[in-house]
Amino acid sequence: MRGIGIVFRREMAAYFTSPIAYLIAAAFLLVTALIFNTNLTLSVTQNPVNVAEVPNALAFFMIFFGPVLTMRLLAEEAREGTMELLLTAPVSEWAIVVGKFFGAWAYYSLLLLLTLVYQVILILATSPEVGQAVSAYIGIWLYGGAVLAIGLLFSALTDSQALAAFLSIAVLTLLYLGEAAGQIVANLDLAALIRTLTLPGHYVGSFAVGLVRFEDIVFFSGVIVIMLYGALRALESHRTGGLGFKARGLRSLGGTVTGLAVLIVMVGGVYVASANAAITLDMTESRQYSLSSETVAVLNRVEQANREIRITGFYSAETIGYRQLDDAIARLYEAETDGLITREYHDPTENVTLAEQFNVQIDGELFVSYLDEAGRVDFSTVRRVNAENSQERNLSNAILRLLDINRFQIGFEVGSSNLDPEDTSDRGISGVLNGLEANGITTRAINLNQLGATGLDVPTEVTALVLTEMREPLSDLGLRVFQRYLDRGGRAFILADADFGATPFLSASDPLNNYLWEAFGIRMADAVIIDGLSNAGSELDILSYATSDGSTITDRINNPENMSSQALFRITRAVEINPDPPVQNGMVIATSPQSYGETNFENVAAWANNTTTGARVILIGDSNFITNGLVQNPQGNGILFTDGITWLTGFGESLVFAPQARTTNIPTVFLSTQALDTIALVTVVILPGLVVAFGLGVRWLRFGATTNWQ
Amino acid sequence: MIEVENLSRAYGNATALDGVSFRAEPGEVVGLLGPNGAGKTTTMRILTGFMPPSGGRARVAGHDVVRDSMAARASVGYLPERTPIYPDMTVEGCVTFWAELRGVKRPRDAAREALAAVDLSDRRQSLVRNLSKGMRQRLGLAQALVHNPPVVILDEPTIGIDPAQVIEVRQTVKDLGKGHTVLFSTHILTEAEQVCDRVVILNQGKVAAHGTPEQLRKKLFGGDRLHVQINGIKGDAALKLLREATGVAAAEADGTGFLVRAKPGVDPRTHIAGAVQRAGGLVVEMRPIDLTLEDIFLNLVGADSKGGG
Ligand SMILES: Nc1ncnc2c1ncn2[C@@H]1O[C@H](COP(=O)(O)OP(=O)(O)O)[C@@H](O)[C@H]1O
Ligand SMILES: [Mg+2]
Repeated sequence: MRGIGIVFRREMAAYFTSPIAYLIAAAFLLVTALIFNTNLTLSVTQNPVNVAEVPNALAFFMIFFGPVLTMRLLAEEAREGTMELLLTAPVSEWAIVVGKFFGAWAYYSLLLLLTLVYQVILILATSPEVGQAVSAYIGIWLYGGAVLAIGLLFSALTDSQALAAFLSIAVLTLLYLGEAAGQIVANLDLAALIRTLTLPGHYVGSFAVGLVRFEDIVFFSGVIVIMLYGALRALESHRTGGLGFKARGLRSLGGTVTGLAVLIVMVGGVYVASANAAITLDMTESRQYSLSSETVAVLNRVEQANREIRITGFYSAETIGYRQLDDAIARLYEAETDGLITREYHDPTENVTLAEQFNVQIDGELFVSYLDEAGRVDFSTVRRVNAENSQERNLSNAILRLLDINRFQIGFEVGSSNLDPEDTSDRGISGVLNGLEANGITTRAINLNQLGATGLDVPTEVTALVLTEMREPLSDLGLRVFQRYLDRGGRAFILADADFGATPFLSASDPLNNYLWEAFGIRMADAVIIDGLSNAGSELDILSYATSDGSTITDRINNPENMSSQALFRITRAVEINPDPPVQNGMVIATSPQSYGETNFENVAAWANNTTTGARVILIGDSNFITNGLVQNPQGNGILFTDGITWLTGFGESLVFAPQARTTNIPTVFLSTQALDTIALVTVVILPGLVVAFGLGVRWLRFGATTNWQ
Repeated sequence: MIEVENLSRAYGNATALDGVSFRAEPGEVVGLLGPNGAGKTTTMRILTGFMPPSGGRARVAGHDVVRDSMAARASVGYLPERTPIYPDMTVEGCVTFWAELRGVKRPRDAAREALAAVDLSDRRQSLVRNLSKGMRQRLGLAQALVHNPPVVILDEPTIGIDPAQVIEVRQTVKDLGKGHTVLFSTHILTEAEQVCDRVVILNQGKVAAHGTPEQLRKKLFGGDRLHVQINGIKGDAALKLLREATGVAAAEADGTGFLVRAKPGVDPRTHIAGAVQRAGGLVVEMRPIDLTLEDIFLNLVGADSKGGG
């Protein structure tokens, strides 16, 4: 289109020769510099550097800078009478509108380029997330384009620059605040729609965090095209003698409305299509919005299993921002599995029954589950997605737990014990069992003596056996069943007590005790350990113990930063470890030097691992620690038990995940106060000052000192 | 060349132009004469491609203003009624911009030439906002001429500038007529007479009359009006004498002298002078009187237009 370049160049020249434009540039630099320096100072002492801080602030300040840059564009032409000449020049209205828009956008781009100084400073001072910065700048550049297009429309609608600026600011403010619509509008769909229509809704949750989404580009481009079309029609209305107040104008107003409607439908269609296509570019260094190879492996398993999985999220209007962030990940799962995984979101405040069925605890929770034949959520398979740092890791873990349903079965020996594995109440050991169930581990009752009496074996699908609260030794037949189970690579969690009855479990004469010593090099000693310093409620409690190094079982207990992760034992049998063991073995928990016993034993819990057969055993001299009273408080007891189970079953190994490092390794800024002062001086004072001086200089050189300043 | 055929234009229900036809040939200055609201600006806006007509056809330099709008626009230089200015540009920058927009090959040279033609060369580097009204008007002329268009359309270019500059502008327009087709609007009769080769009189959106100023004068006014002052003959006798002179249609006392209306197509001045001399008197003053536009329109349309605007 002829004329675009000419109009564009005139606009640029107008910006560069107008003292007001230089003042705007200086103010722009001043505001961004203040934000940059505040953020920089904070990151020296505490916060990580956010490279998107300046663009993020611009998302707000453009409400004011945009209209100031655009108010003049067409309103001045109308006021000064040059509109009539423009419209009788042999160029199309498109050329005029587009040329003007590009002029303003180019000037804004130059301002943005100037703020790259801050990024250069960051690069010199630390190693910032360059990818995220690039993404944020692309975003705020497009965002600014949309702001300027809106400003241009209002400049076309009125002859008064002040009115044009006022109206633009009003509309932009609405469009800005709309992002927080969820705080006001209770209806989720409405809030989501409003958010989709706002400018920050396409920047804050995507570009600003390093995620370039094609649909956001479509949105900003669409806004620009629609606004320019509006401006074009407003421009044309000069030809028909007014903006629709006259009858003829009204007819053309009808045409404008139709045209706008067609355009909006078209842009909306492209937007929805692009949103569904989920084309994204992950600009973060840690590939935060891309699927890791671990997740891809999990999703391959999903495809092999070929069962439909549903990700169900519960977000009220208030947490709609989180929904966008979570969905940025979730939709990758859908795309990667070609729709085998689907996603669905509900408002927990509207869909109360459904939220209850899922047992939603907090707003913004995600669940995964299988779908039944009818395509409905199979509630028996619902798995909660944890809410820890990395959403991808949480989601993949949940899907793994879903895939592992029925893969792990824990048998609880009941023939000689008091345990009722059918108890589903959510407390104590039953609660722990529920927790196992929730993670896809099923439990079942096993009666070894009975199996022996009927000549049967432990079923092959039992991954591990738990022997706890044993009142007496196993029968001969029962013992043989147990030995065969371990010999073929079974896993056992064995808990004994300081029992002073006639035939205690794992006494020196219990053949099982001898078997354990010979096969695994661990056994129960006839000795009791008591902690002299314990203040846990009884002199017979052991609180001061040491966890052995390098055991995956005790990784998470006795964490010095978390007092409740300690474990607590009552009168404890000592465990003996063969220093020359037949298989790998070691201790899990040792007593502290403050403890004493009948003889000087140290070990409370031991492990053994026969790498040839695959058999694994954990032996603990106390079964009370997972009784109802103690398993939840302190937490260490529950953790010890579940981690023991995890190690025995190998369940933990299937969940090993490379963490998606985002919160880790964020570079801190090392700058002296003096360096900070210098940066502040340069960016806050010198740069804006130079711009002002430059503006004055250009004007003075061109027009002399007598210029009439206005 | 400008060809206008049966042009009409409505603003909503109000008709601004109603079947207007006229032509302007190259080398001719055609005046559009009419009172405010007659439709002059509307006609020009249609011819310059600013707005479309509601009916009829108009061609500029052979291009239809609707179907071939871009070519028509390219061949027109236009000075709108409201002088268009970019207050923050330099004079030369301004004219160069318009030259570029109209596709001139060497825009800066063309701008300098155009500024020289309107005698603004020494203000080339001034900001437009610092120009006087007359200078702004000349700047407006410069932009209308910068692309050397075959057709120049000027909408009341003499409005609101001081008398000395009015004369300059009139002369410029007259000179323009030598090489261009010029359409020039005014509501001042004498201006039209002075500047134009032909005049089209518009009233209430219709062509009330057209022709050379002479033709119009004769056709419309029914003869010249003269102010005559006589010494040496008494009032009544002088009046009688004047009424009886050859070529005089009517005469009446008018202050110190007499108002004489000539018969159409006759110049009564030698007859009057002779008659007075024969009666022993002396003609001390005899001059034609300009008709006001209002007079003309009263003559033209009679009572019909009294209520009109
Ligand atoms: N934009 C407009 N909207 C409505 N009526 C208009 C408009 N422009 C002019 N008119 C009307 O059209 C008629 C002719 O106006 P115009 O062409 O400006 O006359 P002139 O230039 O001879 O003074 C007038 O009655 C005027 O009120
Ligand atoms: Mg007019």
